[in-house]
Amino acid sequence: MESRLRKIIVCDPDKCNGCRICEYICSFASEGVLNIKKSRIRVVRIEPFLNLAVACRKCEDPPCVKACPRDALTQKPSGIIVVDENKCNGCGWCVETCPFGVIRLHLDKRKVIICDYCEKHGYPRCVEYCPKEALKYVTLDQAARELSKKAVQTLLQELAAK
Amino acid sequence: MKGYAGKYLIVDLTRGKTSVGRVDESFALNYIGGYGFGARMLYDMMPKPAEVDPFSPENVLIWWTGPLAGTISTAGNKYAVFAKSPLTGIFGFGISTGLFASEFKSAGWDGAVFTGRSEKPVYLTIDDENIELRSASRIWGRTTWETEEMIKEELGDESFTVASIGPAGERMVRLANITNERNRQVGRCGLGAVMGSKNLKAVAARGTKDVEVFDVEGLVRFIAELNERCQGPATEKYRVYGTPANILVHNKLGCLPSYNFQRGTFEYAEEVSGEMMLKTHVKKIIACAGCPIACDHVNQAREDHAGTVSSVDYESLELLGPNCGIRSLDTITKAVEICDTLGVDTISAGNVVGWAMECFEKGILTKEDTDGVELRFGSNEALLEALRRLCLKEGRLGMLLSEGVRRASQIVGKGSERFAMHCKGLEWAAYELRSLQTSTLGFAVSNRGADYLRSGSYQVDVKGQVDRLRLDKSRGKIVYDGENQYAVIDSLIICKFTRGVFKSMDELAKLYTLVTGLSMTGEQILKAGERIHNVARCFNVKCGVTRKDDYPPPRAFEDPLPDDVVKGAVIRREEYEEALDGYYECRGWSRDGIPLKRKLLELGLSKEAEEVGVEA
Amino acid sequence: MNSGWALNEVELELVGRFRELFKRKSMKISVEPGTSLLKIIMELGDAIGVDLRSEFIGPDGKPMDESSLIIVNGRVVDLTRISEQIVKPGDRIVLAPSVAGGG
Repeated sequence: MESRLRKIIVCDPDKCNGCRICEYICSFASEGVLNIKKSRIRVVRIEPFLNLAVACRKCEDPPCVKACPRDALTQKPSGIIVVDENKCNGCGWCVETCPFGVIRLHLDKRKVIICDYCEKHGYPRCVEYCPKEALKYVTLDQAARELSKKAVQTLLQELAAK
Repeated sequence: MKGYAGKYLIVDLTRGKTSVGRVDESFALNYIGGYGFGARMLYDMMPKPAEVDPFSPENVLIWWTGPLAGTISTAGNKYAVFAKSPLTGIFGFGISTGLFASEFKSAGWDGAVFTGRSEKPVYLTIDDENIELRSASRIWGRTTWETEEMIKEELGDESFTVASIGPAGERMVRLANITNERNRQVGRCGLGAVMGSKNLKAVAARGTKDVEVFDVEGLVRFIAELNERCQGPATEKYRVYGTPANILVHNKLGCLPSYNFQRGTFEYAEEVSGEMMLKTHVKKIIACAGCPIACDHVNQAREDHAGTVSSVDYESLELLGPNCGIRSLDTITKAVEICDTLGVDTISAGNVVGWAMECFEKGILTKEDTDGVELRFGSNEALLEALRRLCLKEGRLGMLLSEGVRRASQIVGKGSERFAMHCKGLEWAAYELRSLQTSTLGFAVSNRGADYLRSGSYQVDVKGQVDRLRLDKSRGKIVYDGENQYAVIDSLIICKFTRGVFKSMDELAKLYTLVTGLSMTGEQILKAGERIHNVARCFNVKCGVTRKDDYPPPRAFEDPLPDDVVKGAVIRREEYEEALDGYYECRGWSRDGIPLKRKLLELGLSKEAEEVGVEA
Repeated sequence: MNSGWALNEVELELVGRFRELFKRKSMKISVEPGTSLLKIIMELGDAIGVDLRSEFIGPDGKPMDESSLIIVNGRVVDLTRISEQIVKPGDRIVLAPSVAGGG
């Protein structure tokens, strides 16, 4: 699939308030447990105002796949990165290479974990559970269109206020 | 049993030794968590509380989460701290929220108990099973915000969460609080000063364990439903304007305290309203971990204090604003920043400064007493300077205010006790006394002192379900019911903003069972609430609390409100006595406010029945 | 009664979300003698195309826990009686969100 058609999880920093419900639900969706340290999506809070959740961006020509010395990572046509747990030895090269810092070493298994977009469920659970609809599951094109819309709305409001 | 970690940490600060205590099933079922665990344990660990100086090593400092912390439960990441309060001399207790509670539980602990006193400043790290007391000499003297950053840096991991005291707690200011994640506080009862007295600067927690629950599928489904309800009308007021929405509503009702509770309206209410604040000062609304509501309105000040950032809720806004005659949101944002970083409770601080302003204007305090500060209502400079000195115990004024309003008024005398707005030594929160009279009864009988968080009894007043300008016997039942429900909420522990989201006590019990696997009905959990409330009261009775302590301050009876909408409103003494009698009757307590033996036995409290209970 | 009022006018003050709904802080409205509070609420809602009644009364015809407040001359109105309560000229009516307290 062409990368422009791939849907990814995007987060609107204006709506994200750092509640971390996505992290809790991710640990449940991925492993059936409640433990935010096992979440595949990560919430970043930079005091005092910035909050943002980030998950795998399904990069084209992903650096994590290239970095793995044991060929444990592969990318599916849908863009999802698959980890072969038999091959992964937890060396962490991919963790360091990911430009978004969204690859984690699993605490118990010592293998890397990467967002699989809740493939079996068919739709990312974090997006379903985000109480403020800050998370969206869209193509980059759709995300860009939303951004333009928002920018124009803000502009119009500013003009109207003058 | 799930949900609970099943164990708590015991830290002997004098010897620098730690050990482990167990949480068993009957303890869990009878006392739920949070408030319940704290009340039970404080009662048991301090057999003669009247003889314990709150600042001595004999005071016990207790921290508890509840069964919901670290699970995905709606707005359930909370923890509570307990000790004998240096401000009130009775049961001291406060609740805070945030990731701290989740990390604490995820590290495998339900709570921590601190005894003794460390010789040198220390902080405790909880990193799963690895427990360490580390030197705090490098961070002693730092603000709460700096302390969080420095500890994370020292431990080399940002995922540590930190609860700490500021310079006020170190100096044992009786209004000192405990702060986690910058904006969340265990605010009331001066528990930060107890930490200071023990040379305990902070607790840092990081956990990596799964928080096991009984029925994870069922829980996740139920939480989806509850979180969905949280986007409905029951919580809209919190989401949009946050609690500052109260400013204008209270002003219209004549129950917005201003000028140290001399009046019930504020002529500049529009300027400090939630509506105005949202337009001009709110830069971001943030959520506590696990909360679908998000009520925390973070302000950024403009001209006067450009760059200042603080989280402003209704109570802080009101007591540092109208109650001190202040109409500048910039000043209020700065005032909250001073309180939060240096580490004092904004409610108590705004209350005691308002009292001092009234003293100054009446000539009871002079410029000599205030070290030159023109402490007049409405003076932005005076407010900020008074707060800074209070937090640092600087000069005569700082020393005086740092004692809290009850002690300060006893020191000053000259009739200033008459308008020291407190009950049992805890400063009155931002609800007018004479124009919300059911609320006043609830404040006055509370286990913590003047407390808006123990019964929610103001609700019948503002909803027009009773005549809020009068009292009668039936109000006792309203307070009684509210207190028992809130004791459950504070033990689970869950945010009170969700109370409109749960349809019944049965739903709260259902949540408890999904998490713990222990069977529980709405009726049983409410009974636990009543039991918990009685244990805390018994502790207070041992501290000397009786009927005489369950009254609002004299102003409530003696100074009729001057404001048009509620002109002349005042509490009639005979009506108050009747309402108080009604409350004691519901509680099964004597006319003097002491729990009856038979009531305590009915609740399964045989130790309390023997030690405290009286015959009918 | 305030003698400065036109004979059939009442003052409406708006707080919180009601300020956004009506895009103003206050307004004067004319009422026919004998008009009930409920009727005024319905008419105000119709004027801006909003079901204003549902802010105060639930689907079962009773007030809800989260019902907004109507304050007339400083008194909170018992919402079970808004169909009976008659508005008098010169009344000051406030529409406000319910009070939010305690965390």
